[in-house]
Amino acid sequence: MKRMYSGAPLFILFLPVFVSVLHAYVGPGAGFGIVTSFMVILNAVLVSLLSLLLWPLNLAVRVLKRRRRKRKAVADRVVVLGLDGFSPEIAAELMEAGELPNLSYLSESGVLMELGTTCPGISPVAWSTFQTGVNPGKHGIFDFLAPDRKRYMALLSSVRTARVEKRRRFLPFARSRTVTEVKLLRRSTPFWNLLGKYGLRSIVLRVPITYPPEPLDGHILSGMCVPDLRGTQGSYTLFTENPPGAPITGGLWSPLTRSDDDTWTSVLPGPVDGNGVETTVNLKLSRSGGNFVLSVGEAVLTLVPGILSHWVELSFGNRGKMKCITKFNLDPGEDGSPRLYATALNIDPYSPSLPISHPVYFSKYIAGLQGPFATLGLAEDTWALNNGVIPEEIFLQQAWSIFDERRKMFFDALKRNGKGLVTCVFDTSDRIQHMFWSRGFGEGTPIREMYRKMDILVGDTLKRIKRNDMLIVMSDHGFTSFHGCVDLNRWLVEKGYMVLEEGISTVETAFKGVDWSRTRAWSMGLAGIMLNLKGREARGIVDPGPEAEEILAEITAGLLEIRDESGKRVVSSVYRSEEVYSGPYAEEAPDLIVGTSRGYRVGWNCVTGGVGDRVTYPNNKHWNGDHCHDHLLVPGILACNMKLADDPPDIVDIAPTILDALGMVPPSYMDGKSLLAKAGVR
Amino acid sequence: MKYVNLVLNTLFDVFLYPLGWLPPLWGLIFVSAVSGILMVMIFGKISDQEGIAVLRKRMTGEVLGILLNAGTPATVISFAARLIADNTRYLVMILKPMVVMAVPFMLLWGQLDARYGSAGLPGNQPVTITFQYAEEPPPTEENDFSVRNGGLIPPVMTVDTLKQVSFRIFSHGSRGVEILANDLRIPVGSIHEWNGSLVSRGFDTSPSLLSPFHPTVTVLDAGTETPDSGWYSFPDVDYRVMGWRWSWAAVFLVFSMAAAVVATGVLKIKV
Repeated sequence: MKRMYSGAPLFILFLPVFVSVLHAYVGPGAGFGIVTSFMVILNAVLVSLLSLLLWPLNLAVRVLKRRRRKRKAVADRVVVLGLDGFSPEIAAELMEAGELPNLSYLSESGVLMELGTTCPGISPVAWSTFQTGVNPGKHGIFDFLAPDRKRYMALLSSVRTARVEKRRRFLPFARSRTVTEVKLLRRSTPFWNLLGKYGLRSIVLRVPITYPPEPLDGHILSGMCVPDLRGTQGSYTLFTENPPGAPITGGLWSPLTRSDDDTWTSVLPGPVDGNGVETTVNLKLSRSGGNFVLSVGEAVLTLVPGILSHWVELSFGNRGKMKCITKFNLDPGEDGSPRLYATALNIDPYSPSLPISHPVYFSKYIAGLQGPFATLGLAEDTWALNNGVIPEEIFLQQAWSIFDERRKMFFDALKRNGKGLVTCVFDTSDRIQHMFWSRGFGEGTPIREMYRKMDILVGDTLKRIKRNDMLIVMSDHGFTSFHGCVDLNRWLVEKGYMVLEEGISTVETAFKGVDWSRTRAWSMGLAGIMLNLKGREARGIVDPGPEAEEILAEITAGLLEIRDESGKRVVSSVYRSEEVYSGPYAEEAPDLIVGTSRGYRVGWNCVTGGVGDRVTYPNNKHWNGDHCHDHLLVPGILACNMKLADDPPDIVDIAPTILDALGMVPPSYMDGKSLLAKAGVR
Repeated sequence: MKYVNLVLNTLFDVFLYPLGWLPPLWGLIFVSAVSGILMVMIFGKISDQEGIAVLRKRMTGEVLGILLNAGTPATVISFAARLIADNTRYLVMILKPMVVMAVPFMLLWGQLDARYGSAGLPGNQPVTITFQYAEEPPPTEENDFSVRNGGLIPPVMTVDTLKQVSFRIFSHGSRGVEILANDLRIPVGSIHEWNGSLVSRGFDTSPSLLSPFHPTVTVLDAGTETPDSGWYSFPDVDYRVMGWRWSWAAVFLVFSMAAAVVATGVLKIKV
């Protein structure tokens, strides 16, 4: 709108010319209104006319530039509805009970079957394989985290953010400036980029590992791994009068200072500015009857206990350039001392401080039409629920409001792109199963409710697609329970593969206290074990070759022998990376990929380089369902309105299938095979 | 109306008194800037700011929708139609503030027009005054007129068919001289005397809010020969701004809107 309203100053310059017609002018406020209103109509008419006039030219350029499709397409458009973590086992049971009529319809009219996931079955790995059609050895994403082998640290596997010196292109003699550079570390090419070469447009919404967004013929809104305004993967803020007893994971604490009986003040910590100073926004909370009034930044809102607020727009920094949106929830507290919760500071999609879409104004377009929406990669605040900062109802309100936002943008995309590709991934299914798995999926449980709502979404999508559209409903993995943790680093210590420094028995995080000069193996991430290899790790001691092979064999055998108190095996499979990965980046993978049994997952601290005091221990967190297990135990689901091959499909087959359906020959580097060809549709 | 104007004139006199020492242009700029800011503040208070913000964002989305779908004419037309529909909603939304603001704006406009619209009677430059009669104009003699600080330029013209009497007056001195109330004494016919102020352009027998300084026509002995109305035309004053000659209205509009633009940014008012 700024662009549109920037016409006002221009108009002012020409005002003297129009003085005679200014009798209708009624003050600057309404004057702007009339002027801008006129500008809007002019703008709409001119842009529409220009667009219509240029359309033949545009069409001609597209026709000339695009490659010729070598096959006859079986679909005009492919619609991919991604339901993260949607489990085929639960779906089958609920379909049996007649509760998922739309999936049952798909099963009868097309196909519905299990979809093999990647090794390991973790969203960033699986969705990277989905979009590229290659195994992780070719796209380079093996886990949420990637090992920094020089510093023995955990890094985010998909994005690298760095401050770099940039020279000004047109002013080579001017002083260089420091800018933040964000780089997507997923390699290979997403299949929608190939579609663009054939003149097919794509709208890709919230597919994990698409941040920062890459240019494509169409529009993309990034998903998982989009950070919040603080640069984290999502950190909430808790405001209380007294400090929380223990450090809070995934969040910040900000003290509430009581001004009088019914008023408190505080500050909401924001991002660090260019000078390295943490920015803040002032906050004032006042009790008013049964409700609370919150003044934060320029916003004033009434907080009703038990109801998550609407999105509040906030600006940080001297000139308010760092914009975000956040929601609040208030617990009045039994002792009269309120607990205020603020979600992570989502990047404002209307004025994004970081590139979260392509083109950059695509997020603004969505926010303009449907209002603010969650932009954070992992927007549902699982840590806040884990830490007891918010109750379950608030978490569910948050999850479903995000779902509603996503549904609106998905349906708008279906309306706008009649040919080519529309893809949207819904995360609600994953988050609700993570947080409510222990409740089961009986009547009245959040998981059962979620499966029903997802089925309704499938039904609503079916109503919006055309006869020649191919609808693919899929999940990247399934789900199972996570009631016990296995601390792989503890096991490595106990077996002598990892050695801690003298006097240290446990490590909180980041391998602080590990004696690398005597450590032969280390574990980091949700499934990986790495050797401390000479020439690869900074302080490697294991010789590549026979010694390495021997240690890997020993560790593999040992892991498969880990048993819990009931005698059940904790680890059901261990894969050598060369068994499951091939390609130019396979060497970056962990040496061993550990597949835990149902019920067990790698322990919380172990993921980021901690070493606990027990190899197995109960998982007492609210996060009690997971999929970071042996990938064969957690397949995803694949449903399609067209017949596909019924031999077990794999997530790597989806990209070639879509290319094939749209009339393209899948490139030879892709590892998957078209399920259409297998099914004999051609 | 006469008394309303009296009150308003006094109020504006008091408000503008501190600017009396400034050159008229600077006074006008100051008044324009202050009124621009005040009007924006009023607009902010009486308009649905949240609604305007939402609508503005939606309209932005629709413009971007046109850009994003430039290759699909049907979508472009659909977004253009939505944009025009939302624009209508926007106009409806600002209707209430416009109506409310029309009142202070009208008062301000009249006052500024009266105070800054003309430079008075310029030195040695004649100005024509015309009286309109309901009946046939009475015979008038040139010697019946007197203008303080000025004089009459003969002849006095009587146009019987139009029932009008016109004459020209001038002021003494090389620079423009304001001819204020009671400066001009004009016997109309043989028995009537008319008193008036000549700081405005045009006058009528009843003053209005838009012409607050209209001279009051004092009819000493109402009769058929009394003029119904009269008007004159002093030359408009021009202000030199950035090398151009601007009318007072242009100065007011530009500077009030410029101040308003700044105010909307600083006060974060959606317009």
